[in-house]
Amino acid sequence: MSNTPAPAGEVRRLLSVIESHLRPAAAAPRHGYPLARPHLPVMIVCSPRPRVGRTLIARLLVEFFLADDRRAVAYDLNPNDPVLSDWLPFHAVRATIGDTRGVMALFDRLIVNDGRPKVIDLAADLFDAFFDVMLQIGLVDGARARGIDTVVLFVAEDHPRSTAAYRRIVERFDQLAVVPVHNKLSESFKAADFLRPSLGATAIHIDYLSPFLHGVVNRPRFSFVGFLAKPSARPTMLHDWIDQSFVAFRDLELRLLMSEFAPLFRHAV
Amino acid sequence: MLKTADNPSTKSSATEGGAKSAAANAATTPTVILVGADKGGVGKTTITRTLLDYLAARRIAHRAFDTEAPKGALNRFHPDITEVVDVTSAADQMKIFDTINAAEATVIDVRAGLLSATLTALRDIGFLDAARKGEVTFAVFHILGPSISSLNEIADTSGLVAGSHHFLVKNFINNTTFFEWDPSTHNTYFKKIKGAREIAVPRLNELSCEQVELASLPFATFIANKTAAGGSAAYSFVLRGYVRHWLNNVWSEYDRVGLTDLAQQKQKVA
Repeated sequence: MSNTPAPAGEVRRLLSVIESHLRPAAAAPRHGYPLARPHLPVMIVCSPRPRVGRTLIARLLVEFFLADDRRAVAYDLNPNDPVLSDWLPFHAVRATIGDTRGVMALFDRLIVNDGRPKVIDLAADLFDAFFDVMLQIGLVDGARARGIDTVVLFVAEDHPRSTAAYRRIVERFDQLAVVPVHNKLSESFKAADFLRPSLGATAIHIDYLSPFLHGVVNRPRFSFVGFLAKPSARPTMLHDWIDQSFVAFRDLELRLLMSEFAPLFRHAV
Repeated sequence: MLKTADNPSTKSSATEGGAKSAAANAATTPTVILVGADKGGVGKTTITRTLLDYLAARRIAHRAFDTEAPKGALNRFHPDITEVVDVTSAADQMKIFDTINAAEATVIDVRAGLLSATLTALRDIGFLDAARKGEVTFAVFHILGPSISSLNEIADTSGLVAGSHHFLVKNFINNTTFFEWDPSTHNTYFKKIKGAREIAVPRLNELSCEQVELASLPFATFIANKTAAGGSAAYSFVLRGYVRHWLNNVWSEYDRVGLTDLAQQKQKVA
């Protein structure tokens, strides 16, 4: 590997990309250089097994982007139980991969760099079919060529089916970031630390929430961003839990970004 | 490994341009590839199109003849390199066979019902003898349909294709099931043909197939999201992905049977 320092222009571009990820899009650049177009995320929230808290994590993720002034779109890929729009009526779209037209309607939109992060809530029974399509059409490379990063948030369990599915994805997609999500809200959660994150990512931890508060966040139309916006004398447990979850997502974004630019940093130092 | 549109380093991917490289073929014997079947609707032109894209991607110079005279079928997709001919006329036979040369492979898409007749004509003009002597590399892609008549065709043509590289192509592009072929019947026919090799062309998603047909483009051009004139097109990423995946699988079959080596066979020194 060459030790030649990176050109100053490259470092400026790197700084502008990082800054554009750290601040809302509307804010003015502080360093005086025009902002580069940031890489857009397509986040696939999935598990090969149902009832692991996948939809809650997809909701959290969408609201994390909304809280950051990023107009996220959620694709509800649960044909038998499409509930995402119950909580995100203005941001969730039902999707299907049951026929070619459905596949086109979904993936042809995912591949557009329109500045809107995309979140997919992928039903357990479509797990294999979805990744088969993804592999066939070359989504990961096609997305990257358009400045879109595909990231899999794999809700992990200490279960043979979960482990096998995780390994299968990592083996089939060598250029895909696969991030284990340890969801302590799930009844079936047991630390699945044996799942090694790919491409520089680290696992995400969603903390335990009391059954009462769990019931609160699952009420129809409950909004995490709306809850944070309400005046409160002091932070509650739910505030802390939402904050921790959002920080975990922000940390993931930064880690992915840093891993992408790590070679450039090495050159620049 | 999946070959992708965005990876120019993947030499065999279904996306490379069709630059002709006469120099690369300078030391080869002339190559003639005949694609045909006596039955209609089995996908001869589709297979020919995959072959032309394959040769282009492997930088093997080539030309094509479309025997669906007078209108043609292949020339709609590859107009720059295709000439429509009537293979039953002596004048057009001369146009094809008197101009065969080592600098470019010749691909002939034989219209339905004319495979046996064309092979007979080639025998009569001494072309098959030349192939037997190694003066010409001759490959026959016999496209098979699902019915028993395709097996009868194999028996009918097997006597004529001795000395050629004979490929029996099972075309599953439209999800064909070879339902009439019970194993014993299949073996009876296939044992009669020495040296024939089987190629399986997998199924292609219907909408993708339809879109490429409507676009009237080579598969590789559709995958690259280009118009016939070379401009940018707006074809579905999904459909292009399906076509790329399928074409890579078809080309893997051609690689498996050594088609590149065949088309670039070194001239035998007398």
